[in-house]
Amino acid sequence: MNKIAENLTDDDRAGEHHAALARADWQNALFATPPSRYRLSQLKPQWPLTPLNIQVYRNHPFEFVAGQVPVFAAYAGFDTHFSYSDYDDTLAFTDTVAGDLGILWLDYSRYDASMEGEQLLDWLLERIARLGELSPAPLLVCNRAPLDERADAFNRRLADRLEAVADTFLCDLSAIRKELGDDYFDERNLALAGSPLSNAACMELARSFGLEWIPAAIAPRLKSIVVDLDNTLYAGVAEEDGIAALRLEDTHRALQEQLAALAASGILLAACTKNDPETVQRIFRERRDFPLGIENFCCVSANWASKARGVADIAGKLSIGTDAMLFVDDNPAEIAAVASAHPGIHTLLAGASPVSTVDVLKRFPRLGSRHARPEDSLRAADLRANRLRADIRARAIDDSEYLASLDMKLAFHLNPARLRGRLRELSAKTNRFNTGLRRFSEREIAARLDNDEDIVVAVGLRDRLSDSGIIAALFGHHKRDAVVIDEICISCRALGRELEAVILLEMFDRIMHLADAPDLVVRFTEGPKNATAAQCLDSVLGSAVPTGPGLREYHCQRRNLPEAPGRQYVRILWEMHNA
Amino acid sequence: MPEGDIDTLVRECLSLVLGRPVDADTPLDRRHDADWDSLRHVELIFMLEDRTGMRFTEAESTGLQSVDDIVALIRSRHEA
Repeated sequence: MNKIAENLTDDDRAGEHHAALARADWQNALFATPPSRYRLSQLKPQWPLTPLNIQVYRNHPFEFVAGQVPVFAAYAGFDTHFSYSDYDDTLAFTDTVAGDLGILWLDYSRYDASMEGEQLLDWLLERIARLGELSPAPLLVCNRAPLDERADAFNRRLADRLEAVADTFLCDLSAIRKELGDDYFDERNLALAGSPLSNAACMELARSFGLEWIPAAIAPRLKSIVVDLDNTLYAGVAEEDGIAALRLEDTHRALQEQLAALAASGILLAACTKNDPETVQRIFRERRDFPLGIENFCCVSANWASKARGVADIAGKLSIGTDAMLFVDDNPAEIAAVASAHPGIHTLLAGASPVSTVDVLKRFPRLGSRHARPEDSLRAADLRANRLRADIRARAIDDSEYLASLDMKLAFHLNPARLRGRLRELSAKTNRFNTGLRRFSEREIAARLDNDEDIVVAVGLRDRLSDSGIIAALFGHHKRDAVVIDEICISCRALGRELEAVILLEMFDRIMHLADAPDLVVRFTEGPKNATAAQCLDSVLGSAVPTGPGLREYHCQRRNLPEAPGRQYVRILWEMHNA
Repeated sequence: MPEGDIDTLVRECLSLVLGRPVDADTPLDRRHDADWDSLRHVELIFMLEDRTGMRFTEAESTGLQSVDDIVALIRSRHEA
């Protein structure tokens, strides 16, 4: 049982229990094809929601879509409130208000007479940049819905160009238009209320906004799916029916293929099952017709203990919080028990027919691959390599032999604009080794990368067992004769290889040299989980000076920086981007 | 469908769309109800189509001004 669960009151447990079952009840209405406006209007969330103020910048009505978003967003944990600009083709943003998120909702046909193609894109990107100056909120940008070559070309270029703009996310209206065909429009509504959208289009757009687009812009992608086996991945119970008798229907095959695809996109797939470990091995060894193999699972908890304990074990082995997990099981009692033990865990009740499980997974909040990064797919391989590292360490004579055997390489990137998204992720997600807890937005990081006075460093790690990708970040700035460090974060995956001091001292020495600064200041903010970072700074830089409640500063001169222990086991490379 | 059931269904849908109770026997007319604007009217049409499986024409949708109008239209469709 994890620490959070130990501190739960009975009321907390009951609340989580009921919320998980209520959410399971919602699944049929939310993921139906098509969703029923009547059924959705009767759903009222029974779990706490995070308020989210959304500002819509528009040149045509959005209210018909917005009216249906809250019920979908509630399933994702958000209480959405919309504010609207005037209908403004010029995108002057005169009524910009502070919000948590912006939506750019445009009928592009209104520009056809004045601008086309690249000219329209140039103007649009200039307006988006202007909005970025006025509001720090992330922005969802809708593309063109009509189906023709010109719209397709525009949409491709828009997607390409938004890639380079911090904190902007594309909403693919054209995909919904393709799915619905002519049912996307309803001319009656143009006459009644000035919107050409049909009921079906409003519902599908609201579902995409509420379940997929808004959560993806606001919250990080989930890291792991923990899935039950019996009656979830196949029909039957292995221990009772026998492995040969387990039935793989088309719907189970579709579910297994989808899970394999999610695993390939970087989601860590784990199994939590009440079975003997040998049975689980035999299932995947003997059932060669299963799309999933045992190698697709990063972790398997197979025993007769509670699934809440199994989930806790998996979270520990994967070094992730249970709030970054989706637990999938066909038994409502297991769903409720796991939710009670692990507040914040996401749950999905697998249906009697797994077709519905596939449908739910396709749209489940924060699970899509639209914001997947290269590091996501490296994570699973890195975790598998961790098991090999543990074996090597156990067999080594001492730490020196172990570290030397890894053949570690650290690549330092100074001001790497292309790594902006990963840098934001490190600042947002790291807890144990995060010195500033600043939680920088992508736009703030982009501004730092553009500013000559700021310093941004990303650190990549690989060894002979795996490529861990970008595992550390530093954000600092120049101040007279000093380099001031605002935040250093190191991913949990990189901890345990005795590299923290090497990473810190290499960054300090190089950036002080480049800045010709003799003095170093490292600002530290105490948090609930970052004692590891404090201990490392203490060991490298000595004691710190308190500067406020929970705040302190470490001071050091370049000539006094110590040698990094373990430096001899690491090869180091620097790559300057725009230094 | 009996007329009483149609009236109940229309009032239930209108209540869900307006976000307030719509009591039985209270005459409701969109010309005299600020909440029942064009946005809500389109949402009501969508929801009624959802519930009844009917599809109303543009002229019918525009012409519906009151609960009684809607009940009468649905009843006539049933009788047809």
